Amino acid sequence: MLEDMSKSRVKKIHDYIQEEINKQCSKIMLDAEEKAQEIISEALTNAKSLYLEKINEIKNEFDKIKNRNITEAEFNAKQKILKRKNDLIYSIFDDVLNKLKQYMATDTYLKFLEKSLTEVALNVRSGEVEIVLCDSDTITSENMIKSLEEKINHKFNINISFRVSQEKIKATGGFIARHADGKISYDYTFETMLDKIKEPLRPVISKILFE
Amino acid sequence: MTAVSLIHMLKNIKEIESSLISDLNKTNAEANKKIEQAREKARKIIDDMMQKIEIERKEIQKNSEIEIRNKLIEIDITTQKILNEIEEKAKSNKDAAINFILKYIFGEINA
Repeated sequence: MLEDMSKSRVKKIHDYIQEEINKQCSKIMLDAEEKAQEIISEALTNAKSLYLEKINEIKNEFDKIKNRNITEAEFNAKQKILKRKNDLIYSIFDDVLNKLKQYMATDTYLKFLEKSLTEVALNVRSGEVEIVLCDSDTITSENMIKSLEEKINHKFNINISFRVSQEKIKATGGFIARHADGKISYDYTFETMLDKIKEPLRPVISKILFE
Repeated sequence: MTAVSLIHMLKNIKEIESSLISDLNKTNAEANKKIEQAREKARKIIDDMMQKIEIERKEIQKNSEIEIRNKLIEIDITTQKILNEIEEKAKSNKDAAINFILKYIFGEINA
């Protein structure tokens, strides 16, 4: 009788604990399931964010590389065009120098001499000025210079004396004028004149050539 | 209740406790395994995504390189076209430019 009672009590305790344990186990499994879902869900969210962030970074990186390459190529192209334009402009000045040789025996050259000597005379005003002609000039004579001297003195009422030097300069055309005191000289050789006007005339020549 | 039956009962309870603790431990182990599997799956999700990103990175790089190459070819063609136009214009306007400089030197015009 007592043993039966004891068994019955033990069974009750067993059933009670079993039920509690079952509840506990279910809860543990449910929590684990929930936790597992949470971990996967978080991983999916992180993966999606990571994808968006990284793809954005990569796109930006390659956009920068692309833009840098294109900007560099455009800059180089502009430089190439600019250089070619400058080369063409400066080649015109070389052509002009060759063309100027043809003017040596013309009235135009005489007018150039008169104009240039007038500029010298008006700067110097009085005294002797030595005129050094170029070695290629076989046309201009002492008489021609003297005749221009007279014309200029008369026209501007000044007293200047041009003397043609025995010295010759190596140039395509034009002359160098030196004041007697040796302090002032004026270079009217074609080469120097072209050199002097190259830069100031560059925009105008560019316009004529390329527009 | 006799001492014998009490001892017997306690012994039974002890056995039950051991059995139930064992059940609990099993459940805990199973739960931990589930969580660990989820962590493993999460790591795989991230790894897969990294691989996907790497594949897309190569694709973006390839497309970008093609785009750059095409753009550079386009710039080259345009530059050459401009250079040809420049040469043509310079050729046809050469005399005008030479005459302008000559006139400027001879004082017939001011720039």
